[in-house]
Amino acid sequence: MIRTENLTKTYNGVKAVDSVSLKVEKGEVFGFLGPNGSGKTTTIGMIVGLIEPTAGKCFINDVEVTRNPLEAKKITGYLPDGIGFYPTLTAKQNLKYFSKFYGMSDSEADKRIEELLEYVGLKGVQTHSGGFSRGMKQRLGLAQALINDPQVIFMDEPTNGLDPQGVVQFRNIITDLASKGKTIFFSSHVLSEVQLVCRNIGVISKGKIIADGTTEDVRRKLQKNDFVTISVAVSGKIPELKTPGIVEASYNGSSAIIRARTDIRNGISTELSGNGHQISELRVIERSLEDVFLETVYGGV
Amino acid sequence: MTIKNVRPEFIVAVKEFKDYLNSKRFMVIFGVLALLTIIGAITGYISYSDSLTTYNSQLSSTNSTMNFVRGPGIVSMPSVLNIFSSYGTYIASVGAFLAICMGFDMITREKEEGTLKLLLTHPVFRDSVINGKLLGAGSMLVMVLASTFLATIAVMMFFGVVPAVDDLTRIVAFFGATLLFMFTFLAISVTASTISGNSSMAVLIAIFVLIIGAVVPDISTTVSEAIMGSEPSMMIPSTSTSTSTDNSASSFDSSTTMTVVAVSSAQSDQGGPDFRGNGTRMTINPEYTSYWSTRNAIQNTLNIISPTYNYQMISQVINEKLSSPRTSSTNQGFFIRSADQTVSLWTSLSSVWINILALLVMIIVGFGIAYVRFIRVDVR
Repeated sequence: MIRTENLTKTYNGVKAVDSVSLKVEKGEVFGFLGPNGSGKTTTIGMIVGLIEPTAGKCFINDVEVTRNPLEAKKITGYLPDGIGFYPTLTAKQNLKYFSKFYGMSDSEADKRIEELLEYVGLKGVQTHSGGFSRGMKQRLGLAQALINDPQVIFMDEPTNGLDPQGVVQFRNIITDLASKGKTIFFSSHVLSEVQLVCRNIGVISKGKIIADGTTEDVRRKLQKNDFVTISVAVSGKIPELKTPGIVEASYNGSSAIIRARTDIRNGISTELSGNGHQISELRVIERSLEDVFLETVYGGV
Repeated sequence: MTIKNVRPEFIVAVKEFKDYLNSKRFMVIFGVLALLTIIGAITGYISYSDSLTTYNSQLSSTNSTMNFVRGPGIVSMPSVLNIFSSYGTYIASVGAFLAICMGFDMITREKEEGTLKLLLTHPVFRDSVINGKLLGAGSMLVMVLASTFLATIAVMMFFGVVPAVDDLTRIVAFFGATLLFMFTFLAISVTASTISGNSSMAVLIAIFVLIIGAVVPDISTTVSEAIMGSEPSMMIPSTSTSTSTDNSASSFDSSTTMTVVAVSSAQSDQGGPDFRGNGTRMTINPEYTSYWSTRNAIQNTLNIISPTYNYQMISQVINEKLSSPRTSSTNQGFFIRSADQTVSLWTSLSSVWINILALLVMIIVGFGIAYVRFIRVDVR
């Protein structure tokens, strides 16, 4: 449903987005993960037709965005980061204005707007949008992104600045939209948030995709060159291990934490058994995606 | 009512038009302009009425003495367009300010509020957005001007002044000139809005251009003087025994009925052959004439960049039914109009074609820059 081919954007000779190639299937909730300034918003801007790519192509439902932007926009909804509305108009008036670009009749538009305002929890709000809180603006932003009942919805850091209740509500809405078969492209710099709603993710850093796939795929890819951490414990005091491949070891009474280049559990087991020690624990400590993500993308913050 | 198949330009234009109606800033300035229009129309009528009384009394006294000569000091028939003279002055300041207020945040406001990003994610081309915005602002300007012109005409009618067909034609031409002038400042402010990062900078740029335009006519004299240096002496001893020096500027054929309306200081000193006290025959120095011709050309070229100057020249020839503006270099400051002569609107406008062209160029260049800039800018 969404496809990018070597998408590149250069500003003053600096590549903000560098050869980004992604593929998101129909009905998928895709998490686009990366720190601030990594190129997430620029990438989304190119896909939704706001920013002209320096190189590369992007397609939505096989429609090339730069060649047929209107066709692509008709099936796309976008909730940008830092959304703003016409402050002298009410929520309904703002939505009515945007609905006119889709050739909807007044009655169609009014019906759709009523449904959407109820869906996002803004039904009956008559005040001008200039007085809306951040949460209300995000809700109205989602409503405007859905005004044309799009097949694909882009959300750029939608939960930024929301209170915990707002975050949960937004998460539920994303899940609900996904259940209706919508394809959702959801960007964030918070891994835990993405993990909760997305099965597939792409990680961008300094304009480049450094890993993509399922969360497990991404974890493996990110820790590809990392050491294996092994926890070992025996009954009694653990001896100093001589197993080849050990890079670092720390001993604490009956247990030890071993860092090795590869999984050397068999060697450790042989050595300890050969010396007559009874092994009570021997396992690889799996690093969470969060740990790997923080270390890879944020440099171990 | 359905709204299917409405062109995006019109959707944006209607929104823009409504925004102006809901804008307190716009309504305040429009209110001031409307008030000044009424005041200007009333004071214009009083001035016209006085001129008419003076004209009638001088006409009757002239008829009783020599009914074939009307020389300097005898006024011509005042035009009903004089009623618009104060309006022209007001529109040159408040009107320009209104046009700037309408355009300076046309694009920057949308950027600052984040609505431009939102708008452009919907199926609308950028050129439709800017065209719609300009259409909305232009329509509002036409409405503002039309309402003030109609108000002035209503005041005229109220006092029993009914414009003739020629007057009406000139009123329409004056309307066009005023529209051109206000569109110039709209173009300047919209350009400022597209090239600036925020509304504050945009309004500063637009006001800077407004001020430059207002002071250029004042400083152009100094600049042209600085470029040309001091003037050569006007009179030199004549080397010719002939008395055929061109003295058309200062001599009047008694068989021609003339009204001298204005004489520039430069030209008024120019005379025919002169005789100094020592008996030497004097004539006008050609270098002196050439000096002033070049200096006036420089001055007028500088003045051309001032929208206000151009507007004043155009409105002057239209409203005063002149065959050329009083300060134009084409007649080197010497302006004569026959009291009985009817100057056609075409003749009036032909004499200020360069000023009309200057305003048109400013509008086209201004909107062109705004258009290209808006189409190419990345919305982030």
